[in-house]
Amino acid sequence: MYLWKYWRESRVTFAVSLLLVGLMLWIVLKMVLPPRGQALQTTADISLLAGSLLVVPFSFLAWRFGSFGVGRDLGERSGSYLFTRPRRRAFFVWNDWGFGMAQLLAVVVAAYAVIAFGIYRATTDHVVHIAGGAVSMYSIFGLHIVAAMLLTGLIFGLTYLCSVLIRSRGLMLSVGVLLTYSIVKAVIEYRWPGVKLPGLTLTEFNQNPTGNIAFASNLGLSIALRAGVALLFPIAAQWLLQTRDID
Amino acid sequence: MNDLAIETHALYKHYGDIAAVDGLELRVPRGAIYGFLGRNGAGKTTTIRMLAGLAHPSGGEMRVLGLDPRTDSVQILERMGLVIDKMLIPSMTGNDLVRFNRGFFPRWSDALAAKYAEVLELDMKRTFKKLSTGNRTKLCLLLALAQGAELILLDEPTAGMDPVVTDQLLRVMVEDFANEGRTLFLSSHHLSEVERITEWVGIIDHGKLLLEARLEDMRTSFRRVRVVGEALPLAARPEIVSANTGEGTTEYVVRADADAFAAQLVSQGATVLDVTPLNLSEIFLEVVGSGKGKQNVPVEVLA
Repeated sequence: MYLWKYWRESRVTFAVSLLLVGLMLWIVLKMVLPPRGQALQTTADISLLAGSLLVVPFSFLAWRFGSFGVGRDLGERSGSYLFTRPRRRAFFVWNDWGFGMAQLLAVVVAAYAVIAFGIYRATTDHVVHIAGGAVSMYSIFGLHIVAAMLLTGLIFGLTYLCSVLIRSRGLMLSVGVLLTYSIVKAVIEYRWPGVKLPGLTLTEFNQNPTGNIAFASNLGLSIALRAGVALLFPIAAQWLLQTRDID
Repeated sequence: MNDLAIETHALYKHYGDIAAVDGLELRVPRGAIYGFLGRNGAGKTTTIRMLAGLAHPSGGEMRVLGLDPRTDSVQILERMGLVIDKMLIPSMTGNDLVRFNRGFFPRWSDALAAKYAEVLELDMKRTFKKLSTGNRTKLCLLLALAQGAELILLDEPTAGMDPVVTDQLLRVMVEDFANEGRTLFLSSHHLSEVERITEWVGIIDHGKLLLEARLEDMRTSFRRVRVVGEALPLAARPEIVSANTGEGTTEYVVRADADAFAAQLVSQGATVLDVTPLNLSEIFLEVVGSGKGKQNVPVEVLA
């Protein structure tokens, strides 16, 4: 029943998101894709498949979805009503988190499905050539979906925590934290070129010394660490709700 | 299972240096209609929020339906209804809220929800944010009643309501809920309403319980004694709640044994002008203290 409430609050955003992302991708693919029957070139393949332009809409959606649920109820001063339903605080947090992430996953998968479909129709060999050999286009899409979910999970969790922390101003705090981190990262890396801080998005590929594109080193570890960091936010939100008074 | 619906022992809630609840000792019998009275800021709402598990006590013990709200909150909330804050989910209609609540409570009754919607004349298709203050409270009460609660806590349920709605609410609370042997605990500073329906009264001030007793016992025990005489006692005895001297007379409010007290004064050479009963409002004012210059003493539990 609680999920019904979350769905009720987020369904319009969810439907509009699906529609807009799908429409945007369709238009972009129409403009970018080569004529039918051509093989994709390595570098172009990857940059196209990476769909870097999706980072912005995905981030926006994750930010928006992060403000639904408990944070919204606290902002509307209905927190005392919600938290006197007979459930543990963790129930609300993890239902919010699980359902929000499921909605984001649906948008991400739908977006990449549109790209995959476009590329599938436009090309003959459905592989991407990188250092070490050809990799199935579908594997690359799988990796992109993981990367997108790590990014959206991070932003969703951060916004969720901020909304629990300072209610309706949580959305702004979340943007502030993300922008501050990006600026600090850029400044540090400019001042000390040897220092590399992790970016908000997962680095899936990099150029090897011979100039070829290859999978980034320690990709598995990087994914695990990012997933761990993303999970810290709902855990922190749960802890906050369990330890502080609800007013 | 003991016979208390709510029990607190040395319950504290501090906000920095301020003690909102200061060693509260509360004992609410099962099946009672209990009026929890106090001025604004006396600690009523903070106490209710701690009992509901919304605020964490700074110290002390509390039991609700025999369980500890800190560890058994889910089991308590399944059996306890709450009308606090009067703020539900603003975008939901009454029907949406019924649907939302249904899944949480094992003893939920759609039939009761429909019945109270009719009795309370509620438009269940209107969103909560568009309801008047009175209708918001009615909807909160409807949800608490339909969940089949054994105990309902109400924080200022009639605040901001017109007399007709107040009457409707009080009737439903007493006739449909409390008469079935369930416990009703309501905080208020509308003394006339409380006097109409409650059996037990607790008076809190500055976070401390000053008085807890059956209303009937309070009515029979509290007396105002007006006396003329020299060298009369001033608040030195435990039965004296207050003593005021002025224009040749001394006016005592005593919490017990008024006749014996008057007889004792007569034996000391005083003239007793009259001994009169007090209503709840007067008792409240005497216990809490209605103005400067009054000499009040804390009143112990009567029964």
